[in-house]
Amino acid sequence: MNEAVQQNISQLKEKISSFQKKRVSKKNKSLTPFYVLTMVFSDLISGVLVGTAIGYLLYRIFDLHVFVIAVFVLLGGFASILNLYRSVKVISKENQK
Amino acid sequence: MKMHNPLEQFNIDVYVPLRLGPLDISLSNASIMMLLSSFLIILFMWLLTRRLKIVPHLGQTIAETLYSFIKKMIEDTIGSHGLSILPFILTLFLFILFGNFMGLFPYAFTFTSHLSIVGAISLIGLLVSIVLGVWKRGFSWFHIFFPKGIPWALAPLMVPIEIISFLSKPFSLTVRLVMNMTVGHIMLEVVAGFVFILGLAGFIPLLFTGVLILFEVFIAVLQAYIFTILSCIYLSEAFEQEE
Repeated sequence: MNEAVQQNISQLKEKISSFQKKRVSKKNKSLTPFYVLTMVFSDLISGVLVGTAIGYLLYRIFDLHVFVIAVFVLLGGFASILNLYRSVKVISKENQK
Repeated sequence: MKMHNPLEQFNIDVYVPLRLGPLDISLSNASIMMLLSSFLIILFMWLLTRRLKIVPHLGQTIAETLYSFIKKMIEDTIGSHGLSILPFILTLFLFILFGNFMGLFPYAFTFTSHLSIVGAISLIGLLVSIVLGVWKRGFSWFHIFFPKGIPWALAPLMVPIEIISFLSKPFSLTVRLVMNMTVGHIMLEVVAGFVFILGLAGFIPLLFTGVLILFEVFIAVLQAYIFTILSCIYLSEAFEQEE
């Protein structure tokens, strides 16, 4: 009787671990290459565009040198890379879960 | 045979011109679809939660599953102290989801393919994040623009970069959703156009159109989920400062 119960418990444990593995692989399906590609593209261009917009606004409102636009385009590029790095950190956390 | 212009489906057509002083509140295809979407969401949730029982019926189960899904998303990204914004996140998710889905019907307008509409939704999320952050932490919330551990000498460089990074988040959310919806609908229109042009061989693009529609349904749900979860992550910055 005890052996049968032990066998049932070990079979149940195997089934639970196989369901847990399936659940983990299902979760990761949302992070498809298509999603990663769109995320990379949108993160990269958004920072540059926002930096350019801020630079252009400062140039127009305060009548500064055109060089200000170039500086903010560069800062926007760094901000894009920072955003991308933070998004990749989130993705790697999701993958680890 | 002339090919139909695939970009025509994104034109905003004004049906009833209306003005409220300086504000243009005309009824266009976009505003009608947004009103219809809001009405359908309210009707849908009301029908599902009309008769609540201890042992739930199917409709109640769907509503509870939706609620639990958003609740878990908030708990995973923000924490249990972020549940105060659950109504806002659930509304955001359902509005984007219904907008994406309704655009797949014939003669419907996909309002989530417009920069102005999705941009406005993203900006609302940004404003909620700023208001919540300042309300909960006061002016110490502004320390997110100068993270801990950075030397003071780098402040003139890091502060503008952090400000641009913060402001570019709603823009990247907008571009991601608009790009996915626009490209998907253009592809559908172009492939469906080939059904008539190819005559008898038109069943091949017809089959492909069917597959594309199924893919677009998946993308509609996925993009609504991505928009919502990224909004939660950006909103978590307002709550993180509490810890």
